[in-house]
Amino acid sequence: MPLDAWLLLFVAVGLGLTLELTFYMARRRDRRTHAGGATRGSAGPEEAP
Amino acid sequence: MTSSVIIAVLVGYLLVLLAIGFWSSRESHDLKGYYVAGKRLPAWVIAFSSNATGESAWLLLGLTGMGYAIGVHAFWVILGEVLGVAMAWVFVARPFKEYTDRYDAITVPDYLTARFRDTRHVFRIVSAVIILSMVMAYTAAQLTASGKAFDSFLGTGYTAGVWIGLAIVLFYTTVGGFKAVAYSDLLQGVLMFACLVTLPFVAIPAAGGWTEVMGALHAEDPALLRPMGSYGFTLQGVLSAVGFVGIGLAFLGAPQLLARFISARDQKQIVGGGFIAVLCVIGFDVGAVLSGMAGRILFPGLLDPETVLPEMSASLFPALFTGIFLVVVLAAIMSTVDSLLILASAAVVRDIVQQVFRPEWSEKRLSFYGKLTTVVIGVGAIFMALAEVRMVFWFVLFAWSGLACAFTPVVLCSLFWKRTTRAGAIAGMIGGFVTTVTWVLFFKEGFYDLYEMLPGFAAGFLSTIGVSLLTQVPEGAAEEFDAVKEAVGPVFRSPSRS
Repeated sequence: MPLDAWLLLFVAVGLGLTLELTFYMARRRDRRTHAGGATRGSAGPEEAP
Repeated sequence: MTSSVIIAVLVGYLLVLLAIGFWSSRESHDLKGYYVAGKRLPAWVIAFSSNATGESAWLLLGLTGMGYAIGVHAFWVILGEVLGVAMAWVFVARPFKEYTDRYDAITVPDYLTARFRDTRHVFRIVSAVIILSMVMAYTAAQLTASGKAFDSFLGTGYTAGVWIGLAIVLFYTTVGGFKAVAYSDLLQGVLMFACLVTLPFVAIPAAGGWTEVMGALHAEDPALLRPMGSYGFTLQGVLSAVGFVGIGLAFLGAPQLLARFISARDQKQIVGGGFIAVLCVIGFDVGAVLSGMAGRILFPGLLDPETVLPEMSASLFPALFTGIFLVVVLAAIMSTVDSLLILASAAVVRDIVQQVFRPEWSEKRLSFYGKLTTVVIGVGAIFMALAEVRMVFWFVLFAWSGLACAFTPVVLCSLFWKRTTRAGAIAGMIGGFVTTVTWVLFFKEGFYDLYEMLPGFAAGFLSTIGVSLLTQVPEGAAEEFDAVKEAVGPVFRSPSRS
């Protein structure tokens, strides 16, 4: 497969995956940082014990 | 022998669906239970349910056929869908969930009515008209695919196949409600994922291996390996690529997908669910396109490229797996039909009957009418399916974009632009929907077949923004917007706390 086709495939998969991974890691970090003491949101990840 | 194995697999699958219907039936006796499973679904279920609902039979037959027909150019669809799913879960899901929990909303029109203080029920009426018309077309297309699948795999005849498909879906949907729909979607999504991830690993070696497949495609037509396809880097090529990317935009706000966010147990499920959903859609789309490309070498000269998946399943696998592939095609069809029927039923019973005409009716009575409406809409769609045998994927893409263009621009503006007004949102819904329909009917052919999603989105956003700038924001809506933003917090970093 030509290089430009590989590039398109990597961008197609990588762009959304990177976005989601960045979000997921940020929320997990947030949960760990504020575990137990948060009161934000109605039932958000920050409220996890 | 072969046929009996296929029938055994099919019967086993249908029995599991019926069992899911019975298992879920206890929670379908009130509207919240029937339409959003009591807002108690976990991450895995909402993730697979969302993707299985969004993809339909188009993924298995249409996208594999696209890989067969245009090769690498179909990668643009992967880009649009993966990005659309990721953006929906990262940006849209949490604020939407926060709003709908505050309002105790169980449908998208519920949310819009409360968000814009619409005491005249305009959102409910406009939504019901759009949802009913599009769901009828969309469901009819899926039932058409069901009739063809039953007929081609089991020789039931087209009409019997349509009725069998609908009867199964109606049973578990009316008995078990949204919980049955979501858990059957989970099962169906897992089956679709397993088959589409496995298929290229079998098809490519069967065609001689990766290098041989690419070499044969290049020898047949070098354009099959070019990102811009046979158009090259021309206006038509760019519009074609942009149109393919546009297919994924619907994941940002189509009402049948937003219902999954409403039904989540809490926002924590959305964080986990998003990751699962993105991995799932990558497996779906990459598997489908690569399978189609390998299928072109294995089965050259197919008159209908959309038959490449059934051809591969029948030729490359033993009877047991052929039965599983039939089940997967049916799974893709049913996972979409059940969600559409529930969506349309909610638009009639929750949004119109309960909220406009009969607020005094008991939940049990309304739930009964919800089930009755589900049956009526399903039977209505079957008459369209029996009449319009040939137009499966045209209807799918049209209805997919009609629903998305009516709701997505308005939902996005309502979540992210404080200045959005009631009049602007109504104009956006009508503008997006009408543009989609008129584009298909009058303009599409003259503009390089540009997919209707793009002009529909543009019209939806322009109408919403333009009319909002000329009208007043509802009282209290701006303060509420800030409160929701504060409650949800930033997307990518920890909020600062005092």
